[in-house]
Amino acid sequence: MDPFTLAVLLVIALFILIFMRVPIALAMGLVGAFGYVQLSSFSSLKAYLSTAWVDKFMSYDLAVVPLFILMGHLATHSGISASIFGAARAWIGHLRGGLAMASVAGCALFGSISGSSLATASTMARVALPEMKKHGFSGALSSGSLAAGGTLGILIPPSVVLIIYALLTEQNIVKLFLAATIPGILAVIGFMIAISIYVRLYPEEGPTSQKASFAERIRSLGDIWHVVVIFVVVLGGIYGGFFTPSQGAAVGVVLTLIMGVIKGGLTVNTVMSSLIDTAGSTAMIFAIVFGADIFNVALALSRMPMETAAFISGSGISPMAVMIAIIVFYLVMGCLMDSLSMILLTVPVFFPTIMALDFGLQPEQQAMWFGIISLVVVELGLITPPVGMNLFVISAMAPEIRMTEIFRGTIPFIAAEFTRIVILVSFPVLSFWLVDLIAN
Amino acid sequence: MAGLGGIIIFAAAFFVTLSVVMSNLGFGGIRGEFELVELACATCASLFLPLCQLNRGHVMVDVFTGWIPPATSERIDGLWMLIFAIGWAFLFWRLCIGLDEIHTYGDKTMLLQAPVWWVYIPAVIGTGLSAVVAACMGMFIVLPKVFRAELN
Amino acid sequence: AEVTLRLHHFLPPVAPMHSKFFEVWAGEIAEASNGAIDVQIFPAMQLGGKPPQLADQVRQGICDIAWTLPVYTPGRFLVAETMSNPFMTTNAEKSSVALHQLMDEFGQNDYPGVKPLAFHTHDGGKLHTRDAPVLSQSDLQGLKLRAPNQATGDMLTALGAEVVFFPVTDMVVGLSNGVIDGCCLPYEVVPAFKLQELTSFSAAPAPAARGLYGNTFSLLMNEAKYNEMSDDLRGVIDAASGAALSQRIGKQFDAFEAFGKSMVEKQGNEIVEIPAEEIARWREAADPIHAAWIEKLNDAGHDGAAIMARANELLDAG
Ligand code: NA
Ligand code: NA
Repeated sequence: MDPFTLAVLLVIALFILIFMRVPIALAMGLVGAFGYVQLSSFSSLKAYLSTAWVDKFMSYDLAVVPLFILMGHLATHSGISASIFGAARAWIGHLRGGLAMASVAGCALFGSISGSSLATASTMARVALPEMKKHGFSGALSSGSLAAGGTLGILIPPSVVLIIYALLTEQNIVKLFLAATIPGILAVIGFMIAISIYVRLYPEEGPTSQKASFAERIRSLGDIWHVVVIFVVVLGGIYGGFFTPSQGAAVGVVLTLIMGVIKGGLTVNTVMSSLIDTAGSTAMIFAIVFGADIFNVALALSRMPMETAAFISGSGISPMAVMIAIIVFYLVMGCLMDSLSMILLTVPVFFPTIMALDFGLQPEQQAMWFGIISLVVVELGLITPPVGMNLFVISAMAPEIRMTEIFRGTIPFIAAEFTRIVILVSFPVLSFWLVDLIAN
Repeated sequence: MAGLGGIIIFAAAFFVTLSVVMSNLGFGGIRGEFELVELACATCASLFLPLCQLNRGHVMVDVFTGWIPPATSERIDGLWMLIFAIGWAFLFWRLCIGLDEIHTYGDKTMLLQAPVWWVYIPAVIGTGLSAVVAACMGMFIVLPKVFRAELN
Repeated sequence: AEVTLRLHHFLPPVAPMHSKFFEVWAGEIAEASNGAIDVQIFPAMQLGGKPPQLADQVRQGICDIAWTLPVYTPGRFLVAETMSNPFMTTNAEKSSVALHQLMDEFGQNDYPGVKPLAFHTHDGGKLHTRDAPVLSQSDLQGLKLRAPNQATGDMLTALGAEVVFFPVTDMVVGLSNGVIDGCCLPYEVVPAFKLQELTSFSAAPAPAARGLYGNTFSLLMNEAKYNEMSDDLRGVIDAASGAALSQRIGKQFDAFEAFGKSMVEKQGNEIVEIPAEEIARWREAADPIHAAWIEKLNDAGHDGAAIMARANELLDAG
């Protein structure tokens, strides 16, 4: 069998296993290992697996995942997150779906210090899911808004995916971060609109709470000074040149601990249970990361993603048609793969193609535009079933919500993202206007 | 054990913060803080595994099997759990080989000069225990009567 | 194709090493073998693992050919690592010729199970800074610099700099927000990180002086894979490797260096020259590092002094 056909069969096999209730990590690992043996050999699989686990996780990039998750658990156990929601409820809780909107806003805030979607989704889910449940929100709406909100972790800078894109395409990381700001804000607006339409269609899924008095609103602000301190120190530290974003994750954990102790919610017991909770979510995420690694290596060995990309590149159609074909390809692959592997496997082929086409832009503008589009499209893969990492994260945080419910809850947000993709493709200027204004 | 992993990641966070504070006060940062975090990350990833297996924390998609009676889907889950056990056991075996190789080579991290084989020990423990946990739970779920009989 | 060789490396495909060397070289091999050998290139660690594992991957047959740095696995390939010490490089071509010769004479037993195809270096590192140029040791005092490897870090520390070892991604962010003041890297990597936009000054040793540091690289092939090929095809690989290949890659790195420098110039950054006498004083500060290296070679059963002397002789002869 030729490698390309084999790769297609592997993808189908993965689908089937996942539909048969096989845990995602196991399904990807099994299919990946089978493909690896077929395309290479059993002895090289054995050799690869003798160090791959440790290699994969002896990683500074991945270390921020448990750090941010721990930060979220500490915030929850100390009651800090409850006060964020107290404030959010006081100010916008009386709107229909107000708490879901507050979750998205919380994700955006958290996303501005975290570079990872998984960390953002899991942290904010930890914080917001119990609150929304308590206030009568449906599982679909609350998990959907958190899964979508979680993607703001990479859409709003800093962003691990943009860093990888910048390294692959030799672009300026800082300018790319700047470029992602307007599209990131658009995402927040899109999610808010999605929520408001959702609750108009299904009012029972996102109830309103009683409108708070002015005095209550002011009091609620007094309760969140701990959060303000954490954000000011971490954001100020990153943008003021005191530490790098990865160091910021560690500083955030320590600060949250200190603020939790000051607030009085943290004891030895609650800290211990934060650690245990962190262990559970981290292991689940890392097991999938590892399964995905084996699966992605098998796909790379088959050269299927590269050949498909080359085929699209070489088909000789108009520039915009190539762009749309690439987006469609990403959307389809996004149902199956994780965002980083997709970028790693395909950007090396697509980027030179796009750069060779004439869209009437400066080369740097074109590179930023394509970077933002790729980011948005692969990010969408995080919330599209059946393989959507953010969906799994939410599911792990709230086992009582059925996967079907979660899938249903993401539909309005996927629709919002489609709209945003159309806007960003139609108006490239949105992706580099801020850079031209500030950096150049 | 998961608690131990948690304490390690916590310690790494403190260490980096201390390094950042020292560096900004002009004492100079701590050499090798990045490596320490990397070692901590690999250790945690391994130590956290068995607990996740015990809690049945590995996510799966239940969309297309909703119509199956709960007892049957429980059996199916038990079967996959057994296969999971085989997967972890395979990884455990390979990591033992990896531990031996890296120990023989004496690879050390660049700055801390910490032997890399150290982090293979939690990896071996974590995957080994996960295999045992998954095997026990899988058998219990697939063959509940046998086990209950033995318990009685 | 009769034989497929999977070549694994860590650079992104936009890197000149990928497009101007690996792809060209793979094409030459395909042509010389009439299509019997298909070299498939997997950039950016697409076959999994991290760059330090490349040497093991090629030995174990996870890939067939790997391009890697001996410093990734400190202590394993000591002879090849020798020329990664401070002040052990001239330009890339001459240093690569010297390194290949040194490996022929002293490094034959360092690569069991592996057939080395080439050894080379890049051009010497330069000091790229944000706020002020580095012209003398006094400019280095308290300067927060990102060091590319352990030995260079030791050397810069000895000269009074405050050294950090950030990963490259943190280095880029650190340079832009001011967590660090500068870094020590050759011009060749400037385009990859857009360093010309992050720094304003570049300081290079005077042309007559040795470079501040230069990493060594090795292009390795799995020995079993090589042996199982037919005599004809082995001949194709032989013709496409060896001392001539090392020199060729070195020469290409000099071209990459010139291109990187042109990017710095185009940006309008100030390029300064560190006087040869100043570099001579810096070399003295690095003496203890070289002495310690000789000890390390001795401990591993090599004749450290002889290797060091021969390396210096080869570098000065070029
Ligand atoms: Na972010
Ligand atoms: Na998806």
